Parts: sequence; structure tokens; C-alpha cells
Amino acid sequence: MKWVLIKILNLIIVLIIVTFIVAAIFTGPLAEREKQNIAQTVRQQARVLFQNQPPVAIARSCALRPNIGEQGLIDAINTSVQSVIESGNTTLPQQLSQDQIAVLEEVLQTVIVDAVNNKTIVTHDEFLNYTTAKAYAALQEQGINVSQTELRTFIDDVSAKLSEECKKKIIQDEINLQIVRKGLDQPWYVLAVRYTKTLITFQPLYSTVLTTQYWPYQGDRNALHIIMERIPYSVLLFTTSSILTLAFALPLALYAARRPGKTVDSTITAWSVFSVSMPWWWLAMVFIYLFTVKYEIFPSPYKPGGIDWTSITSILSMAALPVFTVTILSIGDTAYRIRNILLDVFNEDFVTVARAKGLPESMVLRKHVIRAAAPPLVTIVLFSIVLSVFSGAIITELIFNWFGLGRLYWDAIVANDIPVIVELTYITTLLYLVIRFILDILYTVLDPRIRRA
Amino acid sequence: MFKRKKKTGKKQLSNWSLLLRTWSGKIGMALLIIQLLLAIYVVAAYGETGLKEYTQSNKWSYLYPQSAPPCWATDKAPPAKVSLEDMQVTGPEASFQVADPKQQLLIDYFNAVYVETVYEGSFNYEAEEFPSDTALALIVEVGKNATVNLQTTTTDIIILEAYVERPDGLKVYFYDGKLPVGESGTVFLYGQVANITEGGENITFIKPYSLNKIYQGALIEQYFTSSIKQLEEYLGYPEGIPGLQQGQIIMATVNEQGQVVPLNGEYKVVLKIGYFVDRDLVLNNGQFDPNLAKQNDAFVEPTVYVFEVKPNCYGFFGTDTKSRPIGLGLLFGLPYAFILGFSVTFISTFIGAFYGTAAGYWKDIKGEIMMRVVDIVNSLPFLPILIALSVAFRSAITLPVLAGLMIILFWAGPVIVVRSMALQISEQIYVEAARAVGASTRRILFKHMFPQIFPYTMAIAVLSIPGVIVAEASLSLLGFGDPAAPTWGKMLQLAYDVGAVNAGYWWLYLFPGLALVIFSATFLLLGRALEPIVAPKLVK
Repeated sequence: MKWVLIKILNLIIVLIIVTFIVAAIFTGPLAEREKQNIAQTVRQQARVLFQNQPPVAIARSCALRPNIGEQGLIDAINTSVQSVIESGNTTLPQQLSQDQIAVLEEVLQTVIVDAVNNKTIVTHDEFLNYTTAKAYAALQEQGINVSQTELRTFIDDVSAKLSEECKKKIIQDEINLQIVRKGLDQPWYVLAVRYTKTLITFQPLYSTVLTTQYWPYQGDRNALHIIMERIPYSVLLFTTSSILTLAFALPLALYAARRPGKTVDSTITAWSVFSVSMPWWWLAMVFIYLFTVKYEIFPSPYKPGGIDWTSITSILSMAALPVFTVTILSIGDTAYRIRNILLDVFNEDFVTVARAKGLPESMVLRKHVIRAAAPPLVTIVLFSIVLSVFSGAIITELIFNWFGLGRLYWDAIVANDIPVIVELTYITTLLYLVIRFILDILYTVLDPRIRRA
Repeated sequence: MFKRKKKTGKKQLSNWSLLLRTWSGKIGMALLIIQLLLAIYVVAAYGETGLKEYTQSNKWSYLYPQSAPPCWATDKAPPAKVSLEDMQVTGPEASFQVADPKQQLLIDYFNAVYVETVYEGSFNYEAEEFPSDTALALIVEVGKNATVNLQTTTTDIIILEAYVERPDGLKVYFYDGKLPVGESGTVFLYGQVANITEGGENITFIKPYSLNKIYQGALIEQYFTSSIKQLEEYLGYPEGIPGLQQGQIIMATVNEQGQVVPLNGEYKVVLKIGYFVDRDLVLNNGQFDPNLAKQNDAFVEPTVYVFEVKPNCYGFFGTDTKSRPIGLGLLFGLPYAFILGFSVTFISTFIGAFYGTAAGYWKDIKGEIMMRVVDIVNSLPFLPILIALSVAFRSAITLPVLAGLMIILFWAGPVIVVRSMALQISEQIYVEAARAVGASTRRILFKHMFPQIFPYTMAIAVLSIPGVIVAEASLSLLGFGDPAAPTWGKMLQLAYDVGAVNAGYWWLYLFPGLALVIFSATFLLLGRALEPIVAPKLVK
């Protein structure tokens, strides 16, 4: 069992390295996204928290925050008094000279700070009464005469502005605090390690633009869910076409291997050259034109109004053309590979011996050739199919407008949705490595020669 | 030493003849030579700037029809063009009598005269197919004093009629009314005059605008649209004729079977310009004097009037949505395919071959670590990783960057095979002898082992060229191509972006794809022919 452990270890190491590299490349955008997320939740919480709170309470909580403190409160008061004066909505400052306004500002500053520090003041009315009385007295002392009602409205305006300023300060402070608490201000390599951990332990990354369509609910921004939602569609498409491919390629290859150099054999060779040397998605384009536009045999993947990806009949009818195309494309190469494996076995001595013994050809085929060819056949063929899926078939999906990983790649690239791209890269790498691993094990289990060695 | 060299030379020669003995080798070699010659010709004839013009120049829309299919695929509709130079001119004639009493007032009370000029040209249209488009350019020069000096009147002062008279006598108006009062200088009713620098020369193009998709806010928009609407109602299609666009409807009629077909016969293209002007500025002895009118800046003249029936096809390959000939694009893509394919595969194979040789020579922990690294690189799903890298370098992607990214992922491909060869070779007596004599590691690797292995890796390189080209096309499709280089992948991307599949523009993607298939197949065939020669053990 030691080799299995080594292989698993290998897989994990590769996965960690790849994930780390991808995470390191995209640290900036990922951290940016997380900061956005923090800001959004903080704003939402603040909206709930500050609802129906009198300005004095908001100012008090502002002053209580260690990063803002009394100095921050004084700054906020000054800016709000300034902006109220500049807005010109109140009549009070227009009656005063420049010097008197300066005095007014100073008075208001001390008075409001006093009111905020005075814990007995709770409601807005209490606050207004307290501040107006104090400010009026202080202004009188300085020799400035103003009407009490005007002063009161002025302070009311200032306090409204002040509560806005304080809210802004508190939200910004909370965001900064959370960014530090979550470690988003760390250097890139620390973040890269963190995101590697996030990815490998399947913690959620949140998308910037894309959302889920059907599962678990519409509008989920968890990148993992966005991908999981689409995986079944990709799997459906490629397992169906792989099974069909094998079903057609195996008999073809058997036939060709028994008559090497004849028509079927050279057809398969040419077919494989043709299908390997072109982008699959290009033939997909041609087929879509031929079979949905020119001759309407299959339903068009570009139906106006979109396709319902929850109804089974709709999915199956849409799957017909992609499955057909991918199967046509992969039969050639798969048959060619199987034929090569079979030809190798046909030339083995034990087959010659079997033939020399006078065994009927069908018996030679079943008992000797297929038996010996099975391990490489299963793994090499499956592996070539998997490889093709990961290296081009995903774009075929895009052309067919199929609701799978390929189109998700396209959507994410167009929207420049980095978290989804990172998660996609991780998931595809993971799937690819796991499939490779399983095939590796399968090969060893099937072939006793390798197991012994 | 001399003897050995000669021997290898002989061996190479026999390899070449072996290569040409198989059918795949023959076809591959022939295709390679043809494409190589074509690529050399293209580079020599156009140069790098010429090639890049394909993506960067905007001259194409002036030269070729837009989205025209190949001519062998359609029934050809002949192009036709009527321009001012070919037209018959009647006038300008001055008159003191006009039908409209309101305008007559101008003549009677404001010392004005009515000057009218008629330009008339014609073309014949004889075809079963509709043209792809019709186009119009109409630019009028209005002198500063061309209208009576009268701000009090609201009467039309410059009257302009431009229309096509069809063989059945119906008129399709482009413009039928007054020019905006107070307008002077150059009035662009439709179309454009463009200056383009090509090869240091300044070329002036008259650019008629499409009538299929009429330019938003053009002066003729209202008149033309309502005129087409009337024609549609007359033909019995008040909701528009399915499958035809405005510019094509100009030539539409309904035959006895009730089908919409192009109307054959002689079409007249007419422009009538009339204007009211101060008598003193233009009249000489009661007759209109063009020189005097010019002198007094009291003229109204068309500078450009072109009506064009665009052909519905172009060449053997057609043109794309940016009016670029597809055939030219196929040619221009060839050198890029060669450069990209060769540079990526040969550099990465060279790196891989040397790496593999070294890994095979060092049988200790060093070699083991090297092979672990290769295992990692080889077990990557290359397209997803390539996409991730391209996203990261999105703004900086050029052909060299793309090649670099691919080399990063492809170099480990041949290492395992090379290493197993190197393991065998390092056991050979002459390597041991060299080591015994005290040759340095570098000397053994470079002088004794690497030359033995290198030829075998070339077959691998040739076989991996198609993968590179297909990968470039795939990345281009996703928008990660070099924006300046006219590769086949970019052509396919354009086709995908404009929805060519659904729009039925099959020539936009069929030909670039075929070029790609032929190019890739060349190297696959060659590679398959080379395989048994360079690695005889692989075949029995």
C-alpha cells in the first residue's frame, strides 16, 4: 500500500503548489474583494444599528471608539458646523460677523462635547435644550446677542450633519478594524498562504459579479456554489460522449487492428490526424451552423429568451448536438490509440503461439489479446479523453452555450470575476489530479505486472 | 573524428528518404514546403507593418464590401456605382417663375432669382440576387451668400431633391426638402471623405455610408426611412420585408408568384438643387453666370454624390464584418503561425531535452528532485492554468508573452522520454570512459550525451506544434490574443464575437479553421512519419 500513499502525497503536494501559485498571482484582487465584502456588511449592520438613534447617541459612540476619540468628535463637529454655515440654509450665521462666527464655532464645539460627555442626556430634545441653553449663555457672555429659536434650529442642523459625519467615521473605523482583524493588511505571501488554505479547505470565496442561477438559490455569490451548480452539466455532457465514444471506437479499433493498412485502418488514422489537429470548438461552430441554421435537425443553442436548465427534456434536447460533436471528434483519436495498443499485443509472441496452437481467431482475440491489452486500454484511453476534456472541450461547451464549466470560464473572464477564476482553476486542477490518480490506481490494479514491480 | 561525422551525415540522408517513403511523410512534406514558401512570400511582400495593417488599419471598409460571402457560394449580384463625374448636368438655369406662390414672393419682392441644377446618372441592374447593401454619399457645398439676404422669411431657400428612380417609375427619396436655413459651408447629408496614409502616401477616399444601417442622426434619415416605408406599403409589406434591409429594399419588387425579387432594369440616380439668390450676385445680362456666382460666394453645388450597389460577394473567401478580405487574413496568419509554433515548441523542447539529459545523468537526489518538479508541471491541466495566467497578464499580452506562458507549461513534456534515453546513454562505455579520463560534467552532458538525444526530441517538437497553434486559437477566442497580430485565432474570435454562427456568416470561421487544420495536420503527418525513423523501437 506504500505506493498508494506516495501517490496521494504527490497529489496533495502538487495541489498545494498549484493553488499557492494561483493564490499568489491573484492575492491583490482577492483581498480587494474581501475588503468590499467587509465594507458591505459593516454598512448593512450600521444601517440597522443607527436606525432611530438620536444624534447625541451616535456622537457618543463615535467618541467612545479608541481610534476616533474626543479629538475625532471635535473634528466632526467642526466640519459639520462649517458645512452648515456654508450651505446657507440657516439664517443665524448671516446676522453675524466673521469674528462672531468664529466665537460661535468655538462655543458650539465645547457645548456639544459637554453634552456628549454628559450621560444623562438621552433624547434629541434633551440634547437640544441643554446645548441651546448653554450656548446661549456663553454667547451672551461674549456679548453676542442671538435669538434662542434661531440658535436652536442652527444646532439642530449641526447635529443632523454631525450624526452623518460620525456615522461615516464609525463605519470607516469599523471597516479598518475588521480589515486588520482579518489580516487583510498583511503582505502578499501571508495572504497567499491564507488563500491557499481557504481554497484547499473549501472555504467560500465570494464572487464580484457572477451569481448562481438555480442552486442552492438564485443569486448566491459563493464561488464554490457557482461552480458546483454547473459541474453536473459538464459531467453529463462528457460522460455521455465518452461512453458513446468508447462504444463506437472499440469495435472500430478491433476491426482496424486485425486488418492493418486497409481502408478502415487508414480512415481511422486520417480521422485522428484531422480531429487532433483542429480546435474542437471550431468544428462545433461548423456543426451548429450546419445542423441548427442550415438544416434544422437539432435545436439551436442560441434560442432567444434563453434555455431552461432545470427541465430535463430541455437539457436532453440541448445536449444532443454537443454530445454528437464531441463523440464524432473523439472517436477518431480514441480508436487510433486503441488500435496501436492492440497492434502491439497482436505482435506479441504469446499471440503467435495461440494462433499456432490453432485457436480460432475470436478465441485469440477474447482470451489473449483483449486480456493483455485491457490495462493500458482502459487507462490510456480514459486518460486521453480526460485530457481532451480539460484542454479544449471546455471551450466547446462555450460555443454550444452549454450551462457548464466552459461557459462559466467565459462568463468569469468577461466579467473579470477573479474569485471565480481562482476557484475554477483550483476545482479543475483538483478534478484533473483526482481523475489522474484514480486512473493510475486503476492501471496498477488491472495490470499485475506493474503491481509486482 | 572525421570518419564519425561522415557516418552521421550518411545516416541523416537515409532518414530523409525514409521520411518521404511513407504517405504521411510525403503529404506532410509537400504541405510544409508550400506553406513555408507562402509565408516567406507574404513576409517579403508586405513586411511587418503590412501584416499589422490587417488589424490596425481602418482602410478596409473603404475598399471592400462588408461581410460579403465568397463568390462561388452565391449567385453573383453585380456591383454598380454612379458618381457625380458620370452624371449628366442640366443647368444651372435661372428663372423668375416658380409654382409655389410663397416662394414667388421672394422673387417678386426681394429681388431674388431661382437657380436650378439637375444631375442625372443611371445604371443597369440585371441579377436574380439582391446586392448585399447599397450606399450613398452626398455632400453639398453652400456659398456664404447663396441665399437671399432675408432673415424675415420662413420660406425654404435651398431646395434639394435626391432620389433613385426605379425602372417601374417609383422614386425612392434620400432627401426631399429644404436644407437647414442659415447652413453654409460643407453640408454632409450622408457619407464621408476620409484621408488615409498608406505607405507614406495620402489617399483620399470617398466613403459612401451603408443604407442598410442608416447612420443615426444623419440629415437624410427621416426622408429616406419614410420613403422606404412607403415603398414597403406599396409592395404589400407594411411591417417590413423579412430578410431584407433598408438599402436592399430600394431594389425590391414582387413578381407574379408573389415572391420578393430584385427589380431589374435601368435605375436613374437624380439630384436636383434649386436655390433663391440675390439677382445681382449671379446674373450677368439676365443670364446665370457660374463664374460670377463663384466669385460672389453665391453658389450651391454638390461636391460628392455617389450611389453604390455593393456586390453581394467578394473573391474566393469573402470578407469579414470589418470589410477585411478573409483570404488576405489567411495569408497573413501563416507567418505568425510558423513563428509561434516553431518558437514555442523548439524552445520548450530544447529546454526539456537538456533538462531530461541532466536528470538522467545525475542519478542521485539531484536527479530525483528534478523529476519531481517535472511531475508537478506535467500533471497540470494546461488550459485552465494558461487561462489563469492570461487573466493575470491580461493587459500585457503580446505574442512573445503568450509564447513565454506556453513555454512555461510545455517544457516538461518531453523530459520523461528524454530521461529514460539519457539513463541508457549514461551507462554506455564511452560516457564512462569520458568520466574516467576526467571530463567535466558539463563536457559529458554537452559533448557526449546531448547530441545523441537531440534528434529524437525533434520528432516530439514537430508533433507538439499543432497543440501550440490550437492553444493560441483557444486563448484568442477567450480574448487573450495579441491585439496587433492577425492570427487565425483572432479571426475565429471575431467570428464568435459577432455571432457569425447564428447570423449565417459561415465564411468567417470556416476558412480560418480550415487553415488551422491544414497547418496542424502538416506537422502531425510529419511527426508521425518521423516517429519510426528517430525512434525505431517504437514500431515493430
